[in-house]
Amino acid sequence: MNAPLHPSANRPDDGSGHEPRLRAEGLLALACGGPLELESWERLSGGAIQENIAVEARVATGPHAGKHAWVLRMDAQSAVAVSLSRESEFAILRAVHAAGVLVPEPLFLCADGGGPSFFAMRRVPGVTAGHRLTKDDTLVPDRPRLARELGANLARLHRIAPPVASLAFLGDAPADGAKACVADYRRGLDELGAVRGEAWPALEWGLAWCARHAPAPLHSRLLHRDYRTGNYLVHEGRLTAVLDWEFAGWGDPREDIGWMLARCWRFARPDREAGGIGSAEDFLAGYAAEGGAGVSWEETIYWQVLAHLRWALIALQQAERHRSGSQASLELALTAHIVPELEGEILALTKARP
Amino acid sequence: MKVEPGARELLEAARAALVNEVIPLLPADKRYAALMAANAMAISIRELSLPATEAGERGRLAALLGQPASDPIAEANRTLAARIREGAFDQGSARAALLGHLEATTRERLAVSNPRALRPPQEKP
Repeated sequence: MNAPLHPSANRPDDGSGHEPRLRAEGLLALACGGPLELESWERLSGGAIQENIAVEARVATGPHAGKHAWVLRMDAQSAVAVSLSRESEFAILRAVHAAGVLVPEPLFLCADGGGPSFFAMRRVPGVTAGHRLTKDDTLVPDRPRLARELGANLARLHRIAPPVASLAFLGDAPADGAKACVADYRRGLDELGAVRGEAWPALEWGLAWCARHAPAPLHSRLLHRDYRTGNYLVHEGRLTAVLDWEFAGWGDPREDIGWMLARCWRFARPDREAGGIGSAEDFLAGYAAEGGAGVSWEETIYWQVLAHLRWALIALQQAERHRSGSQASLELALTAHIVPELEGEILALTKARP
Repeated sequence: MKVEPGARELLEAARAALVNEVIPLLPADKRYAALMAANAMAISIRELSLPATEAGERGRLAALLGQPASDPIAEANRTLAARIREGAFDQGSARAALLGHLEATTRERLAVSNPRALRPPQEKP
């Protein structure tokens, strides 16, 4: 590699990822076209799938000369098959950033095959923690406004329709998003059931109900598939960026709406339907005002049931990773104990409707 | 003969020590793991404290399926799940009986996993 050498190459190992740090410095220097030093390297709370590392970079010369606050998004040791690669996630970020969706600006993709691929994005200020954003009014002084911003931002995402050449890796869009979800979740339950010798009748009931009530499909759009409180940044009361695009794909836009409104993502405030932040009315009004489809509360119920089904399936899959011994983790083990509450929601939402 | 105090009492004492003596001293970045451990112990204590709940589930499954429920119960649940998927409980009294069973079973599961969620969920009017 012909990356310029720099003083930090002699830094003693500080136990904070010395080798990945040196590799990142070299690759980022190449991408920036100038000598570069990472002056700080701090792991942010990340998932089991990705690591997010906050860095301060000083670039000596070239088009990017100056000091920058970036976040590096890197594969952790236990990548999950269903999530996108860093290369794909970078392409998604570029597409949605160009469409005006609030996201951290994607800067450089570093994939040399000599280690985990990663990309750099501009660091955006803000708070993500769901329990804080839903409880603390000083963080969100104007809740109706934030709920509308969340809706408007989702509508900007949902303007992106297939096909998009740079997103060809996402495959074909489903003709009927709801039916595709039901088939997908049934396949997931069958796979788990075969391993465990068990079945989940309440989830089967929810899936049978969804199969019967599938609405006429809307045209597929680009979905985030984890658009919820906890996955976006709020700074000075305003939405600044949506994070964690690894599950993005084509589908019925109401799938993202149901995920955002589902009770399981309301944290400390189950009475506020839009992610514990504000009302469904404000969220849906913000969505429609930015060109999104007009969607009624009653119409979202179907997609909320699907949201609870999907989260229940993911929770069972996560617990199985612990149970099978592939990834021993108390957090994964405890996730299974969320499932009864999700079943209760599914029963409550479907009971009153034929 | 079992030595007393046994599993449940030991877990209760261990959880009290963790919550009252250890967690307050932990740095912020270690609290989450300790709180998860305390939660896991609370779930285990509730599971050990409740009478075995499968008797009720077994009786309801037998009534729904029209045959004695298997032992272990998983096989009966697989049969029920397959019948639900075929649409056998979509309507009428079969549907009402199934929902009664699923609600009771979910309440029993919640009593162990998360009793705070036993309050009836409020749907938007």
